[in-house]
Amino acid sequence: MASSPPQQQPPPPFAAQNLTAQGPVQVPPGSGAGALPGAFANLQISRGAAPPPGAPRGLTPQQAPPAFAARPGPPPAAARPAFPGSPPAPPFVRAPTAATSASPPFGGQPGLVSQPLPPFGGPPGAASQPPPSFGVPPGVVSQAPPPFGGPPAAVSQAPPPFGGPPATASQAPSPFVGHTVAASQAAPFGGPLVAGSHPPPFGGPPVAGSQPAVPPRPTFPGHSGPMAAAAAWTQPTPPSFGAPQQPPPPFGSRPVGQPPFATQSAPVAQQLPFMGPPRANAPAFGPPSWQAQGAGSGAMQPPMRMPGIPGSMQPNTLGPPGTPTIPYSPHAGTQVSTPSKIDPNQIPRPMPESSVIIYETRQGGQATIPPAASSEFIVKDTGNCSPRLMRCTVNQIPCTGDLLTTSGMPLALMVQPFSLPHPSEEPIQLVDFGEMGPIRCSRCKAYINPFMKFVDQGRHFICNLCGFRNDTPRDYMCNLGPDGRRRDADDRPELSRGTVEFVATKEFLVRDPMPAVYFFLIDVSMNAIQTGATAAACSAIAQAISDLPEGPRTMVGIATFDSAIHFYSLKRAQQQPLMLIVPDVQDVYTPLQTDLILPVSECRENLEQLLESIPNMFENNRVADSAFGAAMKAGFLAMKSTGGKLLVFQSVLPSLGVGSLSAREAEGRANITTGDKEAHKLLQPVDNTLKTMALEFAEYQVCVDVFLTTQSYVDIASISVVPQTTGGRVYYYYPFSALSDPAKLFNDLRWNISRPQGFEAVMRVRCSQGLQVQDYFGNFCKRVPTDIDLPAIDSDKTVMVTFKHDDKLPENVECGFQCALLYTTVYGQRRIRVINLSLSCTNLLANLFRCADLETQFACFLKQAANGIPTSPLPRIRDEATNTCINILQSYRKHCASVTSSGQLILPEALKLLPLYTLALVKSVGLRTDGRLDDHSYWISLVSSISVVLAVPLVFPRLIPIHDLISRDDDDSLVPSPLMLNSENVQEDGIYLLENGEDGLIYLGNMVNPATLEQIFGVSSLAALPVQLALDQFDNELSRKVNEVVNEIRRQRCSYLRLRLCRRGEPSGDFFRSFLIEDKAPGVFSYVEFLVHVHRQIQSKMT
Amino acid sequence: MSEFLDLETQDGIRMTWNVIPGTKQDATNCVVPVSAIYTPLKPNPSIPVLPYAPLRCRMCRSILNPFSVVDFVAKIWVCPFCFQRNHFPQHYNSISENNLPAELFPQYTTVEYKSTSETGPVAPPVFLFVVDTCMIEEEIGYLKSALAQAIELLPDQSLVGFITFGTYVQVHELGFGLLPKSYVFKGTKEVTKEQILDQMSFFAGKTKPTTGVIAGARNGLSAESIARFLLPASECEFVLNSVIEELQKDPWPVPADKRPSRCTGVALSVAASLLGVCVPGSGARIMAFVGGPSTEGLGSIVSKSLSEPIRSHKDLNKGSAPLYNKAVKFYEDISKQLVNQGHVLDLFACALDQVGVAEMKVAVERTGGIVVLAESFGHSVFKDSLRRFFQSSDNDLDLSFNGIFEINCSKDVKIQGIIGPCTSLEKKSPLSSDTVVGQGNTNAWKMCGLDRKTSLCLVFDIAKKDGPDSVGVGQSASNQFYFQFLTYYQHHEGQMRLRATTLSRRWVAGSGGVQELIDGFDQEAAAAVMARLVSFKMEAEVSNNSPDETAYFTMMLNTENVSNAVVMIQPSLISYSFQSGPEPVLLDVTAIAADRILLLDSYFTVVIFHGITIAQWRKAGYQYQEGHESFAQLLQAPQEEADAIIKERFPVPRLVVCDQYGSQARFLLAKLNPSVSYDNPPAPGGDVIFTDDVSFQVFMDHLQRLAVH
Repeated sequence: MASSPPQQQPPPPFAAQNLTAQGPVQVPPGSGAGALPGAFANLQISRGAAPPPGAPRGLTPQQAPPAFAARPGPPPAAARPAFPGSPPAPPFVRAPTAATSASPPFGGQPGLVSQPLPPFGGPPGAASQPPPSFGVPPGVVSQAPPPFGGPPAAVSQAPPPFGGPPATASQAPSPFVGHTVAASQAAPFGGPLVAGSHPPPFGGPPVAGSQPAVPPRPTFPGHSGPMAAAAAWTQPTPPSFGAPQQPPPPFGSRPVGQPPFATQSAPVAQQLPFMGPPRANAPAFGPPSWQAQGAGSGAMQPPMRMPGIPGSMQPNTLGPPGTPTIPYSPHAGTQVSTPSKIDPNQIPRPMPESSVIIYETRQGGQATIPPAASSEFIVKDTGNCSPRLMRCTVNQIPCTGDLLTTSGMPLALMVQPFSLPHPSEEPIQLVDFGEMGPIRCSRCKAYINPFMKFVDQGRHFICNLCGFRNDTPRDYMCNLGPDGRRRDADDRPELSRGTVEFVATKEFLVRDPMPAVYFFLIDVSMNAIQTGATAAACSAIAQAISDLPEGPRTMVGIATFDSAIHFYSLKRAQQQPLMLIVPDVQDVYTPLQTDLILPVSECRENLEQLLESIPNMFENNRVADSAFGAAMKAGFLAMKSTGGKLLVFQSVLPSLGVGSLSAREAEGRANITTGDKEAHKLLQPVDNTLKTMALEFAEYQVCVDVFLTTQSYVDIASISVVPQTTGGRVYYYYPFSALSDPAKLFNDLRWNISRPQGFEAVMRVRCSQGLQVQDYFGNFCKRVPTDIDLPAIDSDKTVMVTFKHDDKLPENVECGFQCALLYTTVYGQRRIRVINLSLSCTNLLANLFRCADLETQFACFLKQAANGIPTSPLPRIRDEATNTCINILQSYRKHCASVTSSGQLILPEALKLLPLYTLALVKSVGLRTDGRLDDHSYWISLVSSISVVLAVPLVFPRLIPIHDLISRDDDDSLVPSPLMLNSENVQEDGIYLLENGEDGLIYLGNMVNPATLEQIFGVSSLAALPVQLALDQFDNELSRKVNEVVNEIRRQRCSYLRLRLCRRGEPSGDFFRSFLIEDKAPGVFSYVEFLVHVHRQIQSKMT
Repeated sequence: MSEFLDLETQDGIRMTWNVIPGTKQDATNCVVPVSAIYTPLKPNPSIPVLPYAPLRCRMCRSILNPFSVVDFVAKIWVCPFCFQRNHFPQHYNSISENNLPAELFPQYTTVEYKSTSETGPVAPPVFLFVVDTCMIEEEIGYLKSALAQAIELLPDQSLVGFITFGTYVQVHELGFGLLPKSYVFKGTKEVTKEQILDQMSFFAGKTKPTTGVIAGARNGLSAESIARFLLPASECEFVLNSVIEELQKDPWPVPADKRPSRCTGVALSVAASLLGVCVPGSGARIMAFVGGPSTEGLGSIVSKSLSEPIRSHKDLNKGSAPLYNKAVKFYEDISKQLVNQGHVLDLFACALDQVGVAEMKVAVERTGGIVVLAESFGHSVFKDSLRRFFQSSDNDLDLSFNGIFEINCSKDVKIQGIIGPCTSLEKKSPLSSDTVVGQGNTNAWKMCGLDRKTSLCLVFDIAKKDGPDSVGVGQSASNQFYFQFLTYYQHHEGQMRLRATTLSRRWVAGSGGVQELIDGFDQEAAAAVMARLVSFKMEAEVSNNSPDETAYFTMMLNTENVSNAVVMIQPSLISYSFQSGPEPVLLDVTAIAADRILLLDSYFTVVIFHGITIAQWRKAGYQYQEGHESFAQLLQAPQEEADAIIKERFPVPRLVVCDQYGSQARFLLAKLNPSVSYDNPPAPGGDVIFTDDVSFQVFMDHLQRLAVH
């Protein structure tokens, strides 16, 4: 009955464009996880030598994980001694190992471990080691210069933190000097560091012990075991990042250099980013910036002074050294010391983790808490679905609505039904019940799942969602074993796996499953032609054709448009295509009933030739108008009988015909400057025309993706309605560059058609009684309250489902969620993908906080904010986002950490980064007051279907130095650890890549070494740099590395990134700096200020 | 009789009364109205073509003619119409009795002026093909080969456009070299000129003028934008050939119980608007090839459902043809547009079914278009007619464009109107009668299309009352009436010309003139005129024909000259036998004999009928045997005569060669007087017609009885 469906191994999303794609692809030998399938490679990489076109796909299984699979799988054991599951090196033991051996990442710890150092690097360590601030044990340092090298450098030899090798070496010492200064200055603000002189701030072993529920997670690499455990599993691991009275500790405790990113053991990895000891991060990023600024004191100043802030009095409340212990009460969360004492180096920051975690979705009959979405993990589906497919904002469900309200947290699921699996994961099983169809609850129609309870010798089963007692169909009968489970449970995927797929029977079919239809619609108006957008689109399509699903059921069609719509009939063997123009753009129609859409096998050559000639054909086109809406409508009519994907390449503001738009931006700017409160209305669709159209498209299973290759305002607010309603998305290339954008356009298109996806889908989420679905958010069409229609659904799309209580949930029963997605595969099979999640219920607020899923919650906040932008003024949206953060923290403060001094900002461990992310959100493109309307609208459209894993980076980008990539071969992850997002990390002699999954900003300082420039860009001076960037690969180590890094990021993000050069003193440089969200910007808080603000708000609420 | 023919040869005119009844009362008593059938472009090599502009009377604008009285000394001429004295201009200074300009030669009552200064530059003719594709493959095949042939015959300098239609209308952009490209318009929706301008990118890259007339290269359109759709035939031969080569049956599916959806009306509307946009005022013709009834959009004549039959005369009489009036109204509007633009609609209707000629008639006739009705595009009537249409030879049609026809005549004669292929320009003048027949209320008419055969029927009104001044008053003591017919037109070679025919006729008044009147009576002309008048007044009263056929016959009648009209009314029958040379015989069943060959010319059909003995000889092949040359000649003679008829006639008549007792013999028998019927056994070797129709004798007897009573 159960069979393993052909695993949908997605092809590489990104191939080099143009001919180069055909060329050999360079695959690093023995690349293993790090291998970059050729398709992923950058344009230039692919010029190397190797597999013939298409080879990457075929080869991947044996050779390297396929593009997506390529998430670095478990690396060779040698490289990662402490692979999860292989517990030989338990965390506590590891210290010595590290000390003696060369396991760099954790090597740093020995010092800490051997000395009962608290995570903050207790005084002893600091004292004993000359560069105490960085507290890195010598051993570690010497062996593995951490990427950010602060500490190691301090120690001595060590590769320099940021600078080029030579420079750094000489400079290395200075950071410490600086730091020392800082430290000494810090002193005035407070007593000895909290952490330093005290029992392990993280609660130490006892705390860990106090959490019996903690699954046997063996490792905690970076820190001494107890602490690690505490940090990870006791929610109240309150690392104070109080004033660094004792400079050493903060740095001493850190797991040194790259460890944060290099830790090997899986469980830990997931913890680390949110791990207790903030200073683990702090040193990593801190020192360099100090160094950069010379007098560190300057940098220190702002946060420390906060005149007038009530908190500034706080030092007193903290009292003398020693008081810091208070925070570490078992209930306490992460604590942030009072504003005046905030040390920018100790405030919570994410700690990337690169080791792979093995995650079993259930253990011991209970749901386990999934690893952070951003970490790398391998899921073993033991009853609950993979968190990639569906994850909840909280991993225990509050029994009552009141409890949920009190917590301030949202209750929502993020469902990403086609999310890419890790290559090592078992594929989703396909279950065929034959004519009987899948077993369902006869009352609520829920599908059979592991949580349906069979009783009465198996003759009945009780629905886990509605509680109804069903008769077991005769054919499905099976006896129960002594454990009360069906004896065949383990053999039946639908009874043992959280996710299965059922073969749909006739009752799920209203017609034959539709073929895979792709209709391309290309703007050929004057502007599109002249900017090269048309040529880019044609070339992208021509290359992407070969990535269409194979088989006779794959159909294609094409039309171009300006002020009229030009169809092409390709069914003319050996003949030129016929061009048929529909000139009436108010009342459109298709010129033919057949022959406009053909099996790709019948018209490939004709299509390719046509695509080649289109740019020439319209070379002298003087028609400036573009009938976008009408063209979509016409394309839709052509595919109405089947449904399918309509891929529209639009380059100018649609100015003609049905659904035409007008330039609202000028109006908008005027309004914004006059402070018009209605400015947000420009972010709403101008009218209902396109919406009505989109609803009709959706009804006939037509999904629209819009590629906007434009150099002007196109009113995305209005345009995006169509993709959003039909399960598509907007791609935005602004300002379009014929030099640098075609590669991205091609890769985006290629990924669009080759990623895992389904058609004519209907999705419904069911849940246990007591809860009900409140709403769905995402790109779909909703006609009835319970279901959403998705003309297409793909691996990138996430649907948020919010819930509300309509009753109390019993505490001793689990709350079930089931998402059922009925869809048609690209090969024309009708399937039902059923995704189950069953979570325990709780009456304890503390549990809620402990099980909170920060990234999921944040994705939820992000979507809610984006959703509100078109209907509320931006300041209100920002306030709401901030208030959400404050409310949650205040709830925690009030109900779970009330013992602690009111003078401290206490953060629940799981939500430690909430303020940082909230600040990032408030400063994000979408919520900024400045910026172009289209940028806002695009951002909103992007967010509406964004996945959890991409939500955080969108507003909280990665900042990576790339000028010194060669010098940090210590790191076994391709992408070096990111720097904290503040300008102190940006040196004028450096080159940095800042990426958010969409854009890749390459920032060049003004004093970049010409040699480095030459290596990366092939030019010898800043002046010689091109305005538009196409990142070529040159024959040198650095260039190779840079390309590797970029390609790795592309792979991780499933996005090609728009690379842009940013220069100091130019608008591009300012743009870059606007992403440094820790910085203070005009009218907006710096990170430290924001913490202070949050703290004050909480305090004022408490009183 | 022969004098009438001589007059016709010289001036292209035949009049019912060559001596005019002098008073209104006399004219009324004559029953047959004073009228003329005039063939403006009748070829006559002796007509001089004058390379200068005509001299006009400064009062009535009539043109200097042989009837003008000239004072050579004073260099003055007197207009015979208004008696205005006009000075000759400077360049006529050398005029003298012995040195006359051609227009004053007495024999040159008809002259032609060809003057570029007056008429502007040469404009190439435009042919816009509008081709139906809702046909079975076989018909499409025929049409394709016919079109391909026609294309080769197009004059090189002429401009060509191509439109196909079925469910939708496709305007082919022949000027686009890279791909076959066409604009597709919905068949259900009318397309205005404005929309054509907007939707077909005539203003790409330019701003459209907000005011003023936009049309043609002279009025705001770039030549390039026009050249996308209308190209010199010599430049687009390849494209045109491939478009024709690739013509396919309309791809939209047709349910078994439905007619194909065919939007003839909208296609013609698109064509008219396209021409209006591109070449207004310049000679152009829409050549429509229609293979079935219009069922879609404006101008449709029947619903798509096959259960509903196409309207018959009975339906029209009963008013139960719901679409008829709407369609006629639609085509009236099209005709107005075309006339306004100076463009012609030609109709080639080839189908077993009706296609809507009756509805389209108004547009064809008012624009002076040509109509050809045949059963199939494979039929020689169509194929040969189309070839003739373009053929340049002695027999070609001299297709001309953009004609304006004006009449001047002496006081006391007024014009009621014209029955024929033209449109009144509504220029009311003292010459126009209050009684209107056909296109009236004017003294000027538009003839968008005209050719060497186009013949107008002018109906006059004698306005002079009885009374003291009835005879010989004032200037008109000469008893002469004068007529001047002026035809401005775009010659088929492109340049504009003016043909002026000036006539003089005598009038008589009172009872004394009866014999003179009778002497001047042209019986054939009267028959032709009466036929036009009758068909004009009683159009719907027809039996045995479909409305389409009736419309077709009427249109042909209304455009033919007298002798052809007479053939239509009374077919000619010639007998060939060994006994005598070819001789006309009575159109009677008794003309049939076993050893005779009969040649029937009924205008639309030419029948060669072999008597049974002749047929047997022929089948035995005697004509090929030595010693039987005379038989071969006998067989050959009617064939040659038929060829001669066919050659000069347009549309090409249907030729039927048949044998006595053969099934095709019905084409002859249907035209014969059934003097011998089944109740009246035939002579041996003769034939019998199985009909209940009465014979001519019976009819005449009946008529006499009525007259006596």
